Parts: sequence; C-alpha cells; structure tokens
Amino acid sequence: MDKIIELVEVVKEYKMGEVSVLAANNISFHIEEGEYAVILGPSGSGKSTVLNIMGGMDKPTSGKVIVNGSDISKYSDRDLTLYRRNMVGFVFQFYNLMPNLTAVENIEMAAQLSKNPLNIGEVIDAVGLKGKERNFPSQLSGGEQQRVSIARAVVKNPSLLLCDEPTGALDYNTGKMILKLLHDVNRKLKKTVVIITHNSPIAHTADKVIKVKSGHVESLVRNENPQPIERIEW
Amino acid sequence: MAVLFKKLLRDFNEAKGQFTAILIIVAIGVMFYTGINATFRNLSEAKDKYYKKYRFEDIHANLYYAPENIVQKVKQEINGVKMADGRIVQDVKMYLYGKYITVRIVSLPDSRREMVNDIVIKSGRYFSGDESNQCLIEEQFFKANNLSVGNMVKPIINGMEVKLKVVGKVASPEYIYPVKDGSEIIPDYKKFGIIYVKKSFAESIFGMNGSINNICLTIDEGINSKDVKDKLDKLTRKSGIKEIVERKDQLSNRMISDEIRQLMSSGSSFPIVFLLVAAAIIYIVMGRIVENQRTLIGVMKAMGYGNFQVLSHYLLYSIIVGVAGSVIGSILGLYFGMFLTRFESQYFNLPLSGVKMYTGLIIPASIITLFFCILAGYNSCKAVFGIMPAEAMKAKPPKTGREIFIEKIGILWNKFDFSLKMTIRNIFRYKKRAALTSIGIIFATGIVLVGLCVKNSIDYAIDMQYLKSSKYDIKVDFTKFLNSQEIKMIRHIPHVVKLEPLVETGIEISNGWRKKDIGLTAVIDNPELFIVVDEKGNTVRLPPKGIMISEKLKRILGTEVGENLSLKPYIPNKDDKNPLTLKGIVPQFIGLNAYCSYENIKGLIGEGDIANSAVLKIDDVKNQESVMSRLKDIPVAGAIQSKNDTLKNVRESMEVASSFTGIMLVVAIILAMAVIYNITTINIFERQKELVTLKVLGFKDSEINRVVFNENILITVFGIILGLPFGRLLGVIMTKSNETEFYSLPAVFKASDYITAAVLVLICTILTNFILSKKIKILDMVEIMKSRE
Repeated sequence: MDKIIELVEVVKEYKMGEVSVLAANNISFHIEEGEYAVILGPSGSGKSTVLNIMGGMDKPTSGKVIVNGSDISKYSDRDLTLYRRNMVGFVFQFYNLMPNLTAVENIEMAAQLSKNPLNIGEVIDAVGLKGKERNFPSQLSGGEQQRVSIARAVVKNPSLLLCDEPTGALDYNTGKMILKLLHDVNRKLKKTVVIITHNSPIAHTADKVIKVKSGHVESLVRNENPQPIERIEW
Repeated sequence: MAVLFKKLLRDFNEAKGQFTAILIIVAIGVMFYTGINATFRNLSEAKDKYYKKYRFEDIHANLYYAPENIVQKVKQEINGVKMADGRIVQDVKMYLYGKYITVRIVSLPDSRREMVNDIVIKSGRYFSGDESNQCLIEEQFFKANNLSVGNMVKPIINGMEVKLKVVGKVASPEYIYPVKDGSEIIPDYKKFGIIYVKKSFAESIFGMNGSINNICLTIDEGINSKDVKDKLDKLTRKSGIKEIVERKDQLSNRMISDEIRQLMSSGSSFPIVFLLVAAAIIYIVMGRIVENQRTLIGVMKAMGYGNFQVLSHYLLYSIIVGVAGSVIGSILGLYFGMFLTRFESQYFNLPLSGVKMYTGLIIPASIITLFFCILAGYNSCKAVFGIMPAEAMKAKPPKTGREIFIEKIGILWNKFDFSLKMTIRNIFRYKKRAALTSIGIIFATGIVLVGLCVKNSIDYAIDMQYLKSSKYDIKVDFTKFLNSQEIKMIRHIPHVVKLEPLVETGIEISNGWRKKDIGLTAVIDNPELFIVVDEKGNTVRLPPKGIMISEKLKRILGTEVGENLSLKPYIPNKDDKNPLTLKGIVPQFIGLNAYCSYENIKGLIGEGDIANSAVLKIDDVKNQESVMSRLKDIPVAGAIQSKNDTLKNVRESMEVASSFTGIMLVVAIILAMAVIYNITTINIFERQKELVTLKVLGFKDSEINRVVFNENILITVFGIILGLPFGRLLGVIMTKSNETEFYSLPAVFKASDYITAAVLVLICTILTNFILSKKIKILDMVEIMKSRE
C-alpha cells in the first residue's frame, strides 16, 4: 500500500526561556493509506507533538514530513492552511465545538471548506446523531459532542483523520462507542485514522502501533490481527 | 497586598493595548475639562478685571447732536450714575494701502484724566500739548496694518483728507472685540479700527463745538441699568437718540460674554461624553478580567482573602486608570488651556496677565474621573462576591448557545453562512457588550455630524447673506439722507449699471410692553440687488404694506403674523409711533433686523429724502476701483464696501470653524477606534479557542478574521444607523444652545455629511480590525488547544 504520510528524522525542540526541551528526538515512521494506527505513549512522551506536526499545526525543527511526495515541513503558513483544509481532519480530547453553532451548523461549517464534502445527512446518520442536529453543544452529552467533532472532521472528506486522545474526556462506555465509531469510519469510509492515546489496550485494535517514549519511537509493531473494540477491556 | 499589586502590574502589562485605549479616552476627557475650564476662567477673570480697572461703561447712548452740558445734567438728574463722559464718536472712511476702510474716530480729553471707557497705553504716549492732530490707535488695527508711532494716517472727514500723527498704541475695554456693527461676527482688524483724537480737535473737524454725540456712563452697584436707560432716554430724547445700549448689549462685551458662556457649557459637556464612554469600556474590560480570573479569585478566597480584599484588588485597576488618566489629562489640559487661551486671545484683545494654569481644576477633574472609573469598576467587579471558591475552581460551565429570534425566519436564517450565524449569535450572547459598543459608535458618528454641521451652518449663512441676498458689487453708506437728485448723480458715475437706494435706520419696535432696538432696512419694490430671501434662498417679495422680521425677533416681541407692531424711529423730531402689520417671517442669522418695502417708511423720514445707503452693480469687476474712488469723492459718502472683499474676509475669518470641525473629526476617530479596539480584544481573547479550532480545521486567516470582524462591522452599521439621527439631534441642540440674541445659525446638514460620517466611522472600524488581525494571526494553535479552558 502507498504511504500516506512519512516522518523522516523529525526533531522538535521547544525553547522555554533558557531551557530547551526536545519534544521529538529523531522520530521516523510512516502511515499507509487506509491504516488504523495508534500512537501510544505516556503523557509528556511527545506524542501530541508528533500529531501536531503530522496535522500541519506545528513545524519540526529539523527532519522531513512527506505527504504525497512533498515535504510539508517546508510549507508556508498559507500552504499549511490549505493542507489542513484539504487533507486532514482533527478530533480533539475536548471536542472544541463552536458553542454558538448547533450540531449541524458545526458540521456545515467544516463541509463548506471542502471541495468534495460528504453528504451532511449521511455523516450525521453515520455518527449516530440523528435527531440531535439542532442542539447546541451545551445541550449535548460529552459523547454526543465528540460525535459531532468526528462528524465535523469526517465531513470534509480528508485523507487523514488525526485524533488526539479522543476518549480522554469520556467515560468508559462512551469512550468505547467513540472508538467503535472511529473504527467504522476507517473501515467503511476508508479513511486513514491515527489515534493518539496513553491507554495501551486500545493499541490492540490497531493495524499499526507506534510506541513513543521521551521523544523517540520505542517500538513500531504491525498488528496482523487487530481485535474488535468490543473485546477490549481496560 | 504587595504580591497582589505585582500581579496587577503584570495584568496591566498583558493588556497594554486595552488600558492604553481607555487611558487615552479618560485623558482626553480630563484634558477637555481642565483645558476648556481654564480658558473660560482666564478669559472671564481678565475681562472682569479689565472692565473694573478701566471703567468699562454700563450704558451708552448714541445721539445725533447734544450740547456738552448734557453730561452734567445726566450726572445730576439720574439717580445712580457714578461717572459719565461725553464724547464725539463718528465712523469715517480712510484710504489705506490702496483700499477704503472704515475707522471710528473717538474723542478723548485733551489732557489725561480718569474717564469711562478709559484706554491703556501699550506703546507711545498720551496726547501732549503740542500739535492738535495727535492720535492714538487701537492695538489690533495698529498691528494688522503695520503702523508705528510717528506715522501719519489720513481719514477722510467731510470729503477732506485729515492728517493725523500717531503718538501711541492703545487698547480699551470697549473694543476687546472690535467689530463695526452687529452685521459682522468676526472682526477684520485690517479694515476697521479705532482712532482716538483730542476732543478739541474732533470738535473742530466735525464742526461740533461744545457738543457731543455719545455719552457713556457707569452706574453705582445695585442700581438697575434698565431704569437708568429709561431715564437717559427721556433726558436725551430731544437731542435725537440713535440708540441707547446697555452693557449686556454692547457689541464687544456681548461677543466675549457669549464666547465665555459657550466655553463654559462645552467645558462640561465634552468631558462628560468622554468619561461616559471610558466608564462603559472600563465596565466591560473589568468584567472580562474578573470573569477570566474566576479560578484565581476562587483560589484567593480559598486561601482566606475576604470579599472586600478581592474586590479592592480588582477595583484598583480602574482606580489606577482613573488616577493615571487624571494626571496625564491634567498635564495635557494645562497645555491645551494655554493653547486655547492664546487662540481665543487672537480674537479678544484682553490683558491676559500671563496665561494662567488652574491647578485647582485638577481636583474636581480627578474626582469626577475617579467617580466614573470606580462606579464602572465596582459594577463589573461586584461579581466577585458571588464567586464560591469550590465552584470557581471547577471548570466553568460550557458556554451556551441559544436560538435567537431571527432564526424563526427560516428562509432568511438558512441563507446565512456559518460565520454570519456565529457573528449574529455572538452579538446576542453578549447583548450588553454589543449595546455599549454601539453607544461608542453612536457617539462617534454623532460627533462627526456635529463637526460637519457647524461648518455647513456657517457656509450656509455666508451663502445666504453674500451670494443669495446680496447681488450688488458695492454698498455705500451716506452720512445723511439723500434726495432723488443726489442719488441720480451717483447712478451716473461711469461703469455703474444699476443702483438701488436703501434706507437703513435704527428703530425701536414694540408690541405692547415688549420692545427691542433693531435695524430697519427699507428696499424698493422688486429689488434686484438687495434681496430678502427665505431659507431655501428664494426671493421673498416684500408686501407693499407691512413689515417682515426674523423668527427670533418675533419670539422676543411675542407677536404673530397678522398683528400690529409699533415702530419708533430714532430720527430727530420723528419720534411718533407708527403702526405696521407683521406680514411674514424671514430668516436671519446675524443681528436683529426688520425689512419692509419703501412705501412703509415714507412717513418716517424727511420730505424728499429717499436713501441713506445705496447698493450698486457695476459693468465689470475690473472697474471696481475706479467706481470706489469716485464714490469716495462724494462728501456725504461714509463706509464704502466691496462685496467681494467682504466675502473674502469673512471666508478667511471662518477658518476657525474648519479647525473646530477638524478637532471633532479627530475626537470621533479616537473614540470609535478605542471602543472597537477594546471590545474586539476581549472578543478575540474569549473566543481564542473557537478561532484556533477554525485555524486547525483549515480556515484561512481572512475567513477567521471575518468571524470576528463581521461582528464589528454589523455593530458599526447599527451604531451608524442610530448615530446619524442622534448626531442630527445633537447638532440642532448645539446650534440652538449657541444661539444668542445676536446671531442664530440654522443647523444645516447635507446628504454628503451623512455619507461622510458613515464612511469615516466605518473606516475607523475597518482600520481597527486591520490592526487587530495581527492578534488573531499570532494565536498559537498548539498552545491553545492544549489547555482545557
């Protein structure tokens, strides 16, 4: 399969006054098209940094990030904006919905950015939000808000769905349902999904698991037999 | 508390832009307060001192001709007269630097003594016993015409040039603001001046041996000047009274008193607008800070800080703004006051014993400012009372979204794109904030409109007076009434193509007990050169029988169109009352005048007399000089004015109005930008997560800016829509409040003014948006997404 994104010797150094912190230290891996990948690591391991760089929210200090043959680490801010717009969908731990737009409006907002968005009604169906379209975020539960957030990411029809601790703010059961949904998105809508988590059992469901520790890749495992989410307990 | 103070300073540092904007507005308010009030005090104090020291008159009477001993009689027979002096006062023409100008010859005692309307010698000396033709010249005229002691000036008296030797430069409380008559608002020092001569000399050149034509007096304290005026009227009636003028109506005094009164009212209204806006912004900014630091407040309370300590910490923000604003504003105000006083003293020749700075004004200014700041601060900070520590440290409940009424109109709402929906919902989410922003915009729009209105009104008045109503080229006044034969001679001066005789005389007009001294102008039937016009500039045909007066005079007399009024001319032996019907109202901006057609006054003037003034049209402007020089050769010709020269001078003098308009525009721009800047900074800060989410989703900067800035544009448009009628109202109120008995300008608004005001304010908003777009650009995605709230 084709590589959808490849990180080559990525280094990210944060300067905080006189101290500098290496959040990513020589990280290399790639994700293939259609993969369901998990980046696993404890907090402070640099996994969010990696995701931010993959998503075009941040630039590496050195190294390459190759997407479709071009190195996005050399992109201008303007080009990165277009990259985020056309290639990437984000799902966050704290949903980050627009509080004064309804569920459907939040999704519409993203859809209008895309040249070939998915059908909004179908996406709402797919994430299981039917009947809640006209609710404002404050009128939705956490799980429902995350569904809106996923719908918002998916509706743009991006090649890459990046999820930063998507279950971090949710209870056990709701978290499971959200993971199931992300899995469905991967399998049914054929989207490449990358999930960041510190929750190791989740790794069993992935096609590929990248373990990150102290800013470098500790191990990279291909999972020949991913487990369905229903069978995972933690 | 020291640590908290450090926190406060750091908070200040983080919100520099906002606090600077508030500070500017507070400082401007204080600056206007101290500056304008200092000017008003400077002028008013200097005026009072001047009047007292040099015995400025309480009443004067202009007579046709009276024996000198009438002064003694006045002193003896009228109770309460403290001092009285008789003088010869006569306007004559003078050729100076190739132009005919008017000078007022005023007699002074041959040797110096205390007198009413005394003079101050600025340079040179008083008359000596030598030559009889020594003269003293009023300072402003002296300076404007580059005269110096030892020069000769040559006024034309009875057709002859009389050589006068300048021995000194003087000033007088009588001519602080030297205008010739009530038809001029701005003095033209080059073209009108006062020349003081020896009494004996005046007697001989005017052929008035042992006589006077002007009597001026001061009265004892506690005596009603109206009573003295009435008695003076009776006593001097036989001498032929042109007019009796009380101090309050004396031209120079009236102009300076009106100016002082206007300064006084703008000295309180201007600052209030600024302090109100500052208070509104403080209210919002402080509210935001408290809201933002909820968790911190919770922590402070949990540690054991009391409500009062927390409140006073936050109140200190607004107190610091108030104190800093007062200090900066007071310093600026001192300079502004000096500048304004100097500016005023260009027009008013007052002995300003050094331009004083009133440090005493700083205290009330600071108190008022602090009051506004603390009031606003307290109202927004009292929320800290309600914050429970445990609750405050928990995450804030999510911001709510709600449906708003516009959404009920589905067809409309569904057409909006998401950013417009967000904008509109956000406006309704923070209604109070949107309302206060609108108020800022409404004020700014209004102030622009008022500034433009002032300029328009003056342009309009000039246009009406000089372009619509005066179609002549030259106006000539005669020192006596001419008969038709004499008028004909003037008509036959080469290049004169048309001549219209006029009668201009002072009269007393009365309706029952209400009376007023005014000027009456009588014109021929169907005049073409001197036309009475209505508000739109259309010619008004004067009725053959009856009189027309201004709206204001109608109010003073308490009369109505169709009622009868009495006229009493101040012409010797012609003091019968003549009834005339009020036939209509004509607009008038300067002075109080009545107009009638010629027929009406036949009985009022002498047999065979037809005019004491005339307006002329000439074939070509280039012949103006030759016609004017022919006119000057006529012995009875008094003032000769070219309309174009007058118009040019008036326009030049009106530059003042442009500077006022300029100040208003600057003030409005500062106001609009400061308000928008503050509110938007808050908006960006509060919504940074939303904005960054949009960034992450791949929205372009321009699209994200739209989400925030559309809101400003919407509020601005709304503010402008309300601001335009508000400004109109403000303009009308202002012109009305500036109205004096002497002049009343209409509030004129042009369609282009509304457009200018709207566009200017909109540009301010767009410019501020542009400045603020940097704040959105630098929002850090990674940093902000990491934080929970």
